Amino acid sequence: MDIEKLLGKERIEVVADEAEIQTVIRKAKAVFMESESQQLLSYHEFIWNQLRMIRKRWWAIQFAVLYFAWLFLSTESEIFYIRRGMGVFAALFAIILIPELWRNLTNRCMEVEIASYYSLHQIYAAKILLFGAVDVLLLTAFIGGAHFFLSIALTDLVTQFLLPMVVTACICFVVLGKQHRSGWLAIGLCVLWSGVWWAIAANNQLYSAITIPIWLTVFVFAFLFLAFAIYRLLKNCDKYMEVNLNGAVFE
Amino acid sequence: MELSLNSLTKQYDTLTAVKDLNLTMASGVYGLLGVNGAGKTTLMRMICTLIRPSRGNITCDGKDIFEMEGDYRRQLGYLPQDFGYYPDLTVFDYMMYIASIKGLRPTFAKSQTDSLLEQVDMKKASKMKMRKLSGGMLRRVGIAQAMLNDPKILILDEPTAGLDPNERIRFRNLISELADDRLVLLSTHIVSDVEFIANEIILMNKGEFFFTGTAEDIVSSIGKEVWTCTVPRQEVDEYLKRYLVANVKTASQGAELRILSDRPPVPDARQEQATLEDAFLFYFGEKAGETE
Repeated sequence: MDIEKLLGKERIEVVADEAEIQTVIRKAKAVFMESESQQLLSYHEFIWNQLRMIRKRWWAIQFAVLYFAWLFLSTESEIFYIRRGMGVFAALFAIILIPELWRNLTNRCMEVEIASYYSLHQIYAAKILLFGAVDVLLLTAFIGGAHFFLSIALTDLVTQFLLPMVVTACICFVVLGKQHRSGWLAIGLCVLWSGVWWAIAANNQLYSAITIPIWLTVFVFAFLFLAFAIYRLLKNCDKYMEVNLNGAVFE
Repeated sequence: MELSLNSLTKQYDTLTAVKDLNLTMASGVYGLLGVNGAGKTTLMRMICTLIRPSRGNITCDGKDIFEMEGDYRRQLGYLPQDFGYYPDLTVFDYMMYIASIKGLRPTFAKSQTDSLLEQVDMKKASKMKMRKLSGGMLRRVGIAQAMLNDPKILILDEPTAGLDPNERIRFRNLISELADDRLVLLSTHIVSDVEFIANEIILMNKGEFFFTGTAEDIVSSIGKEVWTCTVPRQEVDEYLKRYLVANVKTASQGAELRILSDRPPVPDARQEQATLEDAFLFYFGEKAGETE
């Protein structure tokens, strides 16, 4: 082909061979697919997929809980009731995550998940990261709003809302990391804790006797324990529990 | 690709679920045959890295599978006996989710999902919610999810449990099709599941392998003849006590028995060709009666 001559022309006519074009398309697709099959999904793509998998209704319900907590705070003026009500809203906020955290266990999907490339360890890590990120956003907005618009002291918000919430979350993660991993046990313990908190908040003498620095120290310990409970869960979640023919569970 | 079990043992307090297993497997279909509680599922869970052995190890091309972690699981496909699924997802979404945890990139995952659903005849049901699928359809999705990453090692734990005879045959044929150039380990307590498709059959009882070979090897190893004879119905119990009876069929003149014995149980007994099912009965005795 004389390129010089072709370039000199005003119009170049190229005869397109349909069959050849189709062959090239097929080959290109095959090469692309071959390359895709060799590559692995990156961790951030995996997290994105986990985000798509999480049912968003739980976040909507968490938002609703905070909304009702806000309404409650803006209408109630009695400190005694505020203290007790906040504890209940805090426990509810954390309990709402139980169905989603227990989802693979409830649906018996753990065997397939543990045997996958991104195993249960990474699945839980991704879920906790996503829940953590969304909850931090929601709570920051709630606590910031309550502090600035309703003039509630940050220390009160930490001790009356964040502390019972963190303890409830600790209960959930400890139970999830245990051998039987029962969602109902987690709910039961959370309700029990909620009752205990209610009793503490109702006892004005006891509540007032604990000074702010002590409350904050307790909160820091609870927060550290939450981090430990999550670490334990991620460390042990790939251990599968076997159940024998008699129903006994083995680790 | 070679998968080796080296002195593999799993102990739970006083119970030894799997006892000192040694075996090397390469490409082909391996049928793991044993009664309930033989240790098949525990063994498969160890191969799938769900549980760690108490002693010994499992190696893939010489490397410990628990040290290989993701590199090993990338080559693995697993259909558990109790196949769990997310009921609120559609078949397609479920497959795409499993593809994501298997580390498949979206374009490849979609292409694999489409072709596998076609292969297991579930393409038309791909928009159906998982909770609406029948037992047979669920098993087909189960095998499709196990095949998503085109695994070199395919572990199928009781894949035909709960299927009707037609579906069982379809499933068997499907496994045969998928077995090309990969290691398939299929556990079952149903002899016909492995009789025609397994290159090698492993008999397992009380956590131990006690026979490994082809179906013909196992049949010829029993060292007994198989006879059929017709006896009066009132004498059936007596024969059941005296002989290993593989089958009892009510006939117009009495009951037709299939008996494993060195000698003819009655003078007019007809000698029959021994089958794998007879061998199963021979090796597993009364427990073989638990088979479907």
